[in-house]
Amino acid sequence: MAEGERQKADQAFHELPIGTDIGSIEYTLSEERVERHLKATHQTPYPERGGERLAPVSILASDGIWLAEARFDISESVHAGQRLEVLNIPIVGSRVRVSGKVVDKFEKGGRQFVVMDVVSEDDRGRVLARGRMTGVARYRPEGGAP
Amino acid sequence: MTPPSVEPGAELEPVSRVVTLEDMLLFEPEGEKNIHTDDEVARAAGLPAAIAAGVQFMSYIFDMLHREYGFQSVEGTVLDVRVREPVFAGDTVTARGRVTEVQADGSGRRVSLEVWCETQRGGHVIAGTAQVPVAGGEAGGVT
Repeated sequence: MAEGERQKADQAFHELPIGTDIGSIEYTLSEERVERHLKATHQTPYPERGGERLAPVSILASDGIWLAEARFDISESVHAGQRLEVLNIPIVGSRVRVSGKVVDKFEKGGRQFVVMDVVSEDDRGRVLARGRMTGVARYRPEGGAP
Repeated sequence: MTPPSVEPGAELEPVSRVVTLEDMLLFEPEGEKNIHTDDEVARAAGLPAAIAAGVQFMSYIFDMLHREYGFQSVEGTVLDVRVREPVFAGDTVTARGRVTEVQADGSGRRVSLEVWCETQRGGHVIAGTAQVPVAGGEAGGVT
């Protein structure tokens, strides 16, 4: 990252208010998307339930990242930690809405961290998962461990 | 079928995978160019090469828990991990878990575990805790 971009990123981090509503994104949990995830992670598919195909819950772990990406430039960011509570297994073909807000930010070991609370819901009104994601706002290899 | 591990100290059957560049590309949206898919972007960020996404390894832990405790235990599972070390294409990553506590939870039990993923170098890629609801007397294995 060039120095000018670093300064902009620093400024964006310092000006980001805790409590910022990140808004929401929606996506379709398509067959293709689920197959791609299963193949990438070598997982065994779940059995069908009530005649409906289910997606592995691990696919929801990326929701916070897609949400952050829609709002911020995270191309050089790294994931520092995540809590994910699974409430309902997602159904293949459903629409998923992901929303979240910034709940904390801090600097540690030369790195800038942003903490977000994220909720994933489907088009049947079910909460699929709740999570808290901590990301390094931008990666600096000279920074210390989180 | 082996009964699920519900005794403190019991270790789960590990899940081991060789992480390929293809896996890393498939894990991201098609055409995505970032530190997880592109060596140049990774080098610009100070990394020696593209690194696998940390959430990819949460999948390995979810898979391990699913295999151990069965499909009925997926809903209600809580996973809380920190990302520690980078993983590069070609690394072997193994998900492991150890039961730390078992508590009564309604008509079933709630199993708490230490969970982590390690590489062939021995370092922890991600590490943290999991809580899994287990129905009383439920058999393990993938269902």
